[in-house]
Amino acid sequence: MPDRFKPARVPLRLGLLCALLLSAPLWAQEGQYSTRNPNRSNPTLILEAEMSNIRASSAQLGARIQTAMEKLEEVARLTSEQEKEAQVDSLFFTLRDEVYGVLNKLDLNSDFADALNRAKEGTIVLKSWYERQPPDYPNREQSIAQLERAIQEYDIVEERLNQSRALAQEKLSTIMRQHRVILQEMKIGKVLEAIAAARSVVEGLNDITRAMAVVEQKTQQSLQASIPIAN
Amino acid sequence: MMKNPSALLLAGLLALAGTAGLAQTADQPDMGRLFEKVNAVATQLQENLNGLEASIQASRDSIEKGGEVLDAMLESVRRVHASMAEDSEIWTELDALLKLWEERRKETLAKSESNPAFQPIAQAWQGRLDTGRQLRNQISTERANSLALMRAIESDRDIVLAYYELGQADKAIENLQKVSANLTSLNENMQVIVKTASDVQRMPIAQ
Repeated sequence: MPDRFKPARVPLRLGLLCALLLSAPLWAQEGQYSTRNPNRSNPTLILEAEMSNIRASSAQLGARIQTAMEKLEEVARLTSEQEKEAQVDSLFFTLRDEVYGVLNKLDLNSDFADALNRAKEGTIVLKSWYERQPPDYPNREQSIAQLERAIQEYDIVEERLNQSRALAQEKLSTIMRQHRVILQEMKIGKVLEAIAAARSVVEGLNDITRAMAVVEQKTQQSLQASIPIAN
Repeated sequence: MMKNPSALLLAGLLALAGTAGLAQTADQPDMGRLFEKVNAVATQLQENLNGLEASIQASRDSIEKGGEVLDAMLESVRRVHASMAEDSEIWTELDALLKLWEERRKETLAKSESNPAFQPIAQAWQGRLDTGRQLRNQISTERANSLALMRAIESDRDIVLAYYELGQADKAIENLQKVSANLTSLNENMQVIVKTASDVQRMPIAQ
């Protein structure tokens, strides 16, 4: 039998490989890609860090929405028409900048998008490794099923991210459009209507924070599912 | 390079449609150029698959030929993988394009603050970005699938060759056909990528 075919060594090699995989599930990715940014070497860590950025951004937007609602209450009580206009004007500019900030966070050229790709790629390679193992390999079927779920979850995260971006852009357009309309209404004395419309715009921004919460939740689920079952 | 004249013509037309109204310079990322690169990878892979089954069957009586077929398949997968690595021209150009489009969308959104007529244009940029991101996702998946297949071929190589040595050519050929089926699946995904790249180009932005 030629040297290159030594079946007795195969289980040992598989055992070693498995130990490596279990100790670092994303090992499959190491060394395969360029490292434009050395901090991107561990997609799981980056995803967790990026999630906390998105969470912070969402929390900030949530706080701005809350402040804006309180401010609108105050504006309604102001007596000077000019002051009311100025306050609403400034409020809309603040919200616009906030949503621009959210859009920047969610945009594609970010570490989050890269880490998401790499985590999914690592999971695909790992699933393929399990598929090549013999049928009696411990937890083979469960691991394959779990990794397949993780791959699908990563796709859902991607889809939800796209939806959140589209939503943020749609809300930006609404802010800009309603900003003009509301200022116009105030000028012609329809102050109560204007404030009600502004309130509705501000409340609508909660959709973004809800969408971001879903992105975060789905990312957590993907990360959990992409860790193989311990033997 | 693109060998199919009709594909070249299509790429040319699409490049014109996709970049209409935009001042392009040589340094700027270009969707037409990206489409050509993607199409070249797909064409090469398709060419490699042509006649593969015949080569597999022809290797029945020879371990050397079996090894050559396996090496050729591995090389095909390596090329696909290398063409889509994170430092590949395709990936860096796509990233640069998406960055440019995100900037354009932001600029257009900023313009729409004073002129609502820019809103549908910002929306069109959003649509193009969505398809571009879909392309990015498909390429990333193809990259992972090609890496998985490379590893599978490398790890099974000795076993396939051992079947030849044992005189069990049927078993060896069965294994080669499994690899070939995976290569076909890689090729099908490549065709989807070409279609998405073409779709991105077809989305003109009115200026």
